[in-house]
Amino acid sequence: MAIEETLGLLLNSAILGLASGTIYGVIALGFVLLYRVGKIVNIAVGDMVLIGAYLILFFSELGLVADPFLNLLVGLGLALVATVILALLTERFLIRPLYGQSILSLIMMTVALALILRGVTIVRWGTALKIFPGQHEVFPPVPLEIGFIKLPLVMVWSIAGAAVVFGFFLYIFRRTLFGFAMRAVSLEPEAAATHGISIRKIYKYSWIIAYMAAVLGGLIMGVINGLTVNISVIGLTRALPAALIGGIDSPGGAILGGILLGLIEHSIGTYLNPFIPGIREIMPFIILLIVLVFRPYGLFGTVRIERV
Amino acid sequence: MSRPCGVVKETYMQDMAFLQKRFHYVSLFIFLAALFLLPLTGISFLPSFIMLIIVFAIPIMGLNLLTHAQLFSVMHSALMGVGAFATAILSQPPYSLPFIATIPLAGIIAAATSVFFGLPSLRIKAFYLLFSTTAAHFIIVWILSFIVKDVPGTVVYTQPMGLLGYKFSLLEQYYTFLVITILMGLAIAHIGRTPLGKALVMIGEKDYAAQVHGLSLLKYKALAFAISGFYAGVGGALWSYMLGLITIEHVSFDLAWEMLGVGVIVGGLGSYVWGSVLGAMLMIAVSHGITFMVSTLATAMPWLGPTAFGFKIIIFGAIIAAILIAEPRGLASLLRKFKRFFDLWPFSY
Repeated sequence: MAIEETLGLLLNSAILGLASGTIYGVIALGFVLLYRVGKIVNIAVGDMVLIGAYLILFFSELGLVADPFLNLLVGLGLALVATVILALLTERFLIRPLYGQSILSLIMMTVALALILRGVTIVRWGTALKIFPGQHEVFPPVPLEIGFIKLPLVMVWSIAGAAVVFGFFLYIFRRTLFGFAMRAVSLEPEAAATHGISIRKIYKYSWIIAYMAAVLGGLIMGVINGLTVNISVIGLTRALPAALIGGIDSPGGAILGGILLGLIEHSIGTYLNPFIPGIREIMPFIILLIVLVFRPYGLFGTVRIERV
Repeated sequence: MSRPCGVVKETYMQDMAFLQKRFHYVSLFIFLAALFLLPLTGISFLPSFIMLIIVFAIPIMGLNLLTHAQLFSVMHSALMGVGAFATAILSQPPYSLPFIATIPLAGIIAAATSVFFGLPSLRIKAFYLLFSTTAAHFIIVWILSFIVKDVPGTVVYTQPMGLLGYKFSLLEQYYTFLVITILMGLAIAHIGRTPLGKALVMIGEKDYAAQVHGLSLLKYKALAFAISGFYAGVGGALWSYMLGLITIEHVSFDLAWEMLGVGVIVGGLGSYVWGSVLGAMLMIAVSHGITFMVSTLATAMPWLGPTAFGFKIIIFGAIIAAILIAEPRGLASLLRKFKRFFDLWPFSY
């Protein structure tokens, strides 16, 4: 094999890994936010991605605008609006009655949310494979060729989109008064409440942001693999391991964990797969177990000191 | 335990008894008699339906014990799979072991697997365990898939349940299942009352406090995972005997969440026997009820067919949410209230 081909393959898998890693990271971001603000371990991330993707499908299938690109954009916008309502309903009727209860109750409530969201998707849209209308015009399946690197256009968009989302998130979290209030609530809810921050409002907004991150992840997942119920698997098998590897309360860690997982999956995983079948799918879990045993708080998470 | 006034215990034996009131004796007797007599009524689906409940009730008992010690696990369907595959392979010709040998062996193999993947629980706690056991589930299923890789159709058949060349009929198999369940139920109810069970509850409340009191976390956490894995393995063994075969598709990740969510949480966390049995009953009743309804309505509404799974998980989700909000201790707590109502019936105060 020529050296250029080998190099091209390596670079290709690296970029593929980077692209899928950033998607995992963006989805993990919503999880990290909910954990940091409300100490909610959100098992339903994958199913939020699922419902987000199908909402985009629903609104873009209405065909409000003739141009396929604008149509998808309008679909995305309307889906974001719809998920705001969904987030408010979730917070009000499922999560709020359980504040102050044991951690297991809250986790199981998000499991219930996951089951309901996935069930509604199956009942409404069925299990057959679907694609976004006009998807091939917007994201041509012809790969972009730079030298010997072949790059699907979707991947370029997803990396750029993830960078924008992450930058926006960090800006809000670090630089605005609203982000300051969020950080205050995550550190010390009672002290924040005495200083006039409405904890309830902050919880609501964190759910809205988590749902929005999931919709964006759903758009990219849907474009890459097509829409099936299997999208929801990404939550528990990729996004949550990414968040845990990066450190469950660190937004930067979530992105880096996602990229790490994506890179390992597409480089080592792809190369080992012919020798050990199925290793590619198992790789993230083996890494997750190793990280959990040797660094339980993740690579970038806050190390908590246990007090007796 | 609450006691109505006028009920006086004179000895420790009376105080510690499993069944304290006449109402409890009578209702338990009626329940067991019904279980033994129901299949004789000749309703065809009843024995296999109750057997399916038993198959899931046993692993849920183990999972309930584990969850009560705040050791959350979603690898129990994989452990059931380990038990089921072990039984299927051990009952086949090169070994040809009878069920008396395969069921404990399946339990022991599953227990060993459970302890191995439970060991991270010494380093990590609470919900982190959910993710380490998620990883464990997929790794176990991956390893199991190597066993069936060369098997045609990826189906591993189990020899029918039997003893010394004699094959059990469905009814005999049903009674075997029932006896095994009663034994396993008695055992786990006892474990809850022994120092081991109390230690597990203490570890669940505050594990460092338990450590300060001289309990070895390694020993008790490993024991909890071993017991729970044994129960899952036995359940899996019964599962493969009941189905007559096992495939990798049976061992699904959704099943693990259903067992934890519907089986343990809705059934009643901390109520090892009745909570688990009620949880398993609800789980099987809902999924079979949906399948039955869809199959009867399929001619009138053919679009309903593929959505059955969707309806099932919506109902499961709604039940979990409703129970968590309205009755956090689960169905077992409803049962307890019901029993308390009848304590002094009809002259309650």
